[in-house]
Amino acid sequence: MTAQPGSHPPIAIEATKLGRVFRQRERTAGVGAALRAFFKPVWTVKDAVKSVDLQIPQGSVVGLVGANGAGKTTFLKMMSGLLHPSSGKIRVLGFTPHERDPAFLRRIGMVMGQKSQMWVDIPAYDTFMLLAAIYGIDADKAKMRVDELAKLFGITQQLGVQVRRLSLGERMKLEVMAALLHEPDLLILDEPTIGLDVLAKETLRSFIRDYNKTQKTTIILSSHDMEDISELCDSLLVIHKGELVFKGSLTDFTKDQALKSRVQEILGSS
Amino acid sequence: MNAKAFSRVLKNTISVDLEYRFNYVMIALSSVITIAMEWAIFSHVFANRDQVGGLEASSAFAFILYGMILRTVQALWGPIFTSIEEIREGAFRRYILQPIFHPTYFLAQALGNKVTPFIGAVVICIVYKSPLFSSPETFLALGNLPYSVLSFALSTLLLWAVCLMIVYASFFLDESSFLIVSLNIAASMLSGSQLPLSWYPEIVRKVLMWTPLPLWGDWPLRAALGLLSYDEQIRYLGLWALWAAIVFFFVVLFYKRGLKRYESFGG
Repeated sequence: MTAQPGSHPPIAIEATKLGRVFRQRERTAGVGAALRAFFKPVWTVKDAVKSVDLQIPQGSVVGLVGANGAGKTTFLKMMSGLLHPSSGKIRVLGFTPHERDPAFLRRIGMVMGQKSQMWVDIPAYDTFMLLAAIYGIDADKAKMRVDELAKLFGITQQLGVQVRRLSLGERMKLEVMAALLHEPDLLILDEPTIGLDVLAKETLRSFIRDYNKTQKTTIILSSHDMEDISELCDSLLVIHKGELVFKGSLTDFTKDQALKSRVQEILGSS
Repeated sequence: MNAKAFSRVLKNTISVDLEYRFNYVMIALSSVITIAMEWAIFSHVFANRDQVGGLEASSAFAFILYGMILRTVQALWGPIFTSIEEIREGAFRRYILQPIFHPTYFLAQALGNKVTPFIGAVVICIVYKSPLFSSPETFLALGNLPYSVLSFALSTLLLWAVCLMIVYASFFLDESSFLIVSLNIAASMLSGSQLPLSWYPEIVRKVLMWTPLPLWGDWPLRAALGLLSYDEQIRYLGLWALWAAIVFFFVVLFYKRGLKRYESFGG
């Protein structure tokens, strides 16, 4: 879908009073505490995301920043349908994510820096062919796409090697390839550059930048690395203790020195 | 069901298994040792008699062999513990994000995991039926072969469905491996695959008949040995249908409710 000149682009993500509460069992360290918790568990309730309202236009690259435990990943998980919201509503590409409509799942791709969707004991090519079958992509077309993406990432040689034998950077590139194989309209990247060296980070950033320009894919990028945000994003969401403390363009954010210092402080405390 | 995805998961699972060839040596070795031990016990039992609890001495080895095949092909440790771990650690999210129904994925993984042992089992049965060995005539005879194959397939599917139900129970319990271990011990000791159910006290047999346990041992084993009467064949099919409906209901219930409360831990 392309917006007419002068008109607002269609909305890709819309959240209204979105919230998520987690119920956790807590105890102090040690066997004694474990024994007490066995008979009398203590439960606490944590508001991971509190009443978030936002709209994200299609085709934009939005950065999501916040300290550890601020609620970034919880928010992304609700966006992808991994989590059911405790309150409020979320619509993504016209769907309610947690209903897991296959048509919706075919239109999103997600990379979570610390969790893999690759089969680690076999070469990546086998996982890509499985994903092609799951997403209903013709095998020949899928092979072409894999080769094309591998060439762009410079990892053609690594496609035939067991995934667990590859470096972290190579595996992350494979994760991104896996998320892009079915050409999603929305790409959610949760800390995709975590643990990568400078060169690998730059390759990934350059790829994401070009991909957004050519495919007009909406990209949501969560990162602790402000360089990822400043190089890739045109707007920014800052989340702190589950609340959205800033939403706006990167330019507005850069101009607002007070806010910038506050965000640096938030990120620094994580 | 997405047939192409199913076939790909199947192929990938076989590829993963082939990466770890040594596992097959260990399975073969442990199976031979168990058969030898059971044969020693059965030889002792049949030392002074031709028949014990309806099982003839000539059928004893066929019973031991087929019981071992059943237990080896039906036991499903790998995919089960992997799935439970994936739920606990948050890696289960890949199935939620992809347009595939996880039970389809699980069934393909289970089948892929058992393809090689199954091929081995078929070869062993063919060799055992050859003139080289004096296998009982009724064992996998042409007349009872279709029913034997059907009971084997349905029995295996039901056991895997119960395993899947237990996997989904970990959405609520965080950890359900203990249930899998209990199920496997019960299926091994009380299903009639290790010792014929006819050797158990009457009261135990009566209680067992109200459970699905005999469906995983007594049913396919006695079907293969040609020891089931027509009435028993029908009764077992009915019992299977009843338990399959119950298990299917709980698999779907646990899966749907489980996904709703799944927290997909970790970033």
